Amino acid sequence: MKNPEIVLIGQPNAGKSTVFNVLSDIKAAASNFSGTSVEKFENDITIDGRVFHVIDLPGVYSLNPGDEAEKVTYAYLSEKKIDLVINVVDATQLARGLELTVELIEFGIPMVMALNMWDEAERKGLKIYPEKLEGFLNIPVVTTSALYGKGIKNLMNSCYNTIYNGNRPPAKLEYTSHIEENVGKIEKALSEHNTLISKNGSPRFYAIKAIENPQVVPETILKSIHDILEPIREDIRQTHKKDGHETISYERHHISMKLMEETSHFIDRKTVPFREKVDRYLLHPILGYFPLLAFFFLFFTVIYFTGNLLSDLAAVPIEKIPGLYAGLKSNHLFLWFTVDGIYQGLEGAVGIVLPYFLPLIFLMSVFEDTGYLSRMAFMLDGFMHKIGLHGKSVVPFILGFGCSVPAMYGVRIIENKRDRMLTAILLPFIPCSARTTVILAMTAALTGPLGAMFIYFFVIFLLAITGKILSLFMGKATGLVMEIPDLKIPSLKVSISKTRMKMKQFLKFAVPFLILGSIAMAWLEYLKINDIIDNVFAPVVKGIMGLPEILGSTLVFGFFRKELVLVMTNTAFGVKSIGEIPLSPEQVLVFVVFVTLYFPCFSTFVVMWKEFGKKVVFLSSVLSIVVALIAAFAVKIVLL
Amino acid sequence: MNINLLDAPSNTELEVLEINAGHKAKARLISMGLHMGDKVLKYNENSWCPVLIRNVTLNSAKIAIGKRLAEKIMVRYEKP
Repeated sequence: MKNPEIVLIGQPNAGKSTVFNVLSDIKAAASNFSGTSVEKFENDITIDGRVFHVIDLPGVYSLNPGDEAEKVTYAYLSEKKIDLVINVVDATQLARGLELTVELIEFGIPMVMALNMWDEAERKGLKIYPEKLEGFLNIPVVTTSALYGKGIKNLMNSCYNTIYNGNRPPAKLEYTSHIEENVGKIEKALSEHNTLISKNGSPRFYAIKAIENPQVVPETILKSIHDILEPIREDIRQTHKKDGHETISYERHHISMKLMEETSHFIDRKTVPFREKVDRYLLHPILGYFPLLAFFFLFFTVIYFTGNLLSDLAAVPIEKIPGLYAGLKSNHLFLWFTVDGIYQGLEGAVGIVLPYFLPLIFLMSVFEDTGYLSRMAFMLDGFMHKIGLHGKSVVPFILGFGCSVPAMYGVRIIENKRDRMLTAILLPFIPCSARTTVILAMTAALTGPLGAMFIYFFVIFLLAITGKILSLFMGKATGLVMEIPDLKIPSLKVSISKTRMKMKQFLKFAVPFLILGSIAMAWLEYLKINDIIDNVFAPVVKGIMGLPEILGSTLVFGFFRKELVLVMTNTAFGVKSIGEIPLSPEQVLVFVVFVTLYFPCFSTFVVMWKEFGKKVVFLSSVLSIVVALIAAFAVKIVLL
Repeated sequence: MNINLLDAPSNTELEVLEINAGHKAKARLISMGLHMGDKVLKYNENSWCPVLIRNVTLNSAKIAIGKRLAEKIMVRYEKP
């Protein structure tokens, strides 16, 4: 047998990615924040000498896909080879989670349930009897607490047994007799036409879906039941006084409620839990803004000061290196330029970028797991409406403070196309970790913390103005529907593992870019080609922004990675530390404003093209350059 | 008393009577666990923020619903 394919499916925030991370030692972006996993992640894992291919799919509330991320999951489930589904259910949301379980049982692929956050459910006063649940559903039910790695071994043993030692047929969960009668008619027609050969999913599943939501049923299947489907849907509408979608949804809801009543009970709690008290404060329409402001202030202050400290510590050994190859300059000038390029790249990566990047990704990892980020989205919904969006756009915006690439994928969680496009166009305005590094490193060395604060407020102000103007041409935003997951205490172990994973990616992908870019810059300098580039950009760099022409070529490199701007600026001025750059504090602000706003980096450019097409990329690029130029010019006029 | 969710009082148990939204929004609310007949608790009075509710029947997590959509959800409550 080929390596079995195991797919993780569950509702948002059920803990799929955490289960996947524990299985594969942290590979996916998990958080207590719906919509973090918007693309599939996969990994091979070995259990008792057998290799399994595990795939983590984006969270779905039901098998009626609403947004782009849900469509990814539905398409995968119906088209790809799958040997087993692990249905990850949030035990604290049992009744709602069971609605998806019922659909998956109807789908008919062998399944194991991971009843996750089991300990959390008991703490919230819900006592569940997994053996009863197993009896009613006739599928293996394993209790897990993935965040702490509990129950994962049992889960995989259960998967192993289901795949290799035989799968028992799951229970048939029945609707009311009138629905069952009609489902039976469609099922019979489907079996006669044999139209399901190329699809996963049982005839019963497609029969129910044809009544509930024909839009998600493949055309070939619909064709084969065309004659009977409309009369059946009409009959249901007449009999139940509701359309097929509502009727099936309500009946499934009742099946889930009944299952929950039979397999669990609530323990009365007299006091309001501490986390709930905290939550009421965090979500308070007035008081809630104080922790929000405190969050932003603390977040960037900690990064600023930790970054400064780490940068100073790293500088001591790094500054000794140039002395080791200084002798090359007199006899082997080209070699000296090359070695110096390598040094500048390494110095930029280790001495400048990493000190700010490290605290940023660690803090992001911690806060993602607390669930506070969705509370920020809630509190900022009013503001977002003023700029033509709604609170859900805050989700990719906040992810954008880490990196614009996953944030661009995160836009998929927004259901409406207009909101998705506007969010994607505005997203590159959010300073990602690379641009945060540029902002903090340059302001720390040359202007002080007020300069950094000015840039952040100015960029957010520009984002708001641009959003407002664009929304005048794009109509009104749609309404928000968003789950606010329970607050959680983050696991330090998981946060450190996530930081380590992001660090590895940085070292693997960004550092070579920084070194190669630095070598290229050194060669350009050796061949005097950078002078040509500087001359081409002089009207913009010198004319509009009032900066030295020499910065023109650094901006070209910034397109590949924004951190390169820091390294290139040092190289261009021939200085060893940012503090030696011969720019006035005002010029630094003009330069950093432009660098923060102009054009997304190459990777973001590629993902944006993939997700939204060339028109949106073109619009976003032109817009970002125009806004960056106007903003830099405005700062120059006011300050210089 | 029947009233829309936006104008309904906070900290009072409300019964969902009808969701008069478009097909997509209605499907979204249903899939997130809001059904006719469910009891919900509204947390906040009319403010700058969206309406915040919790489905008491399901013991669900909190759900934030935009104001315009909340206006389309009819609920019932017992006047004290």
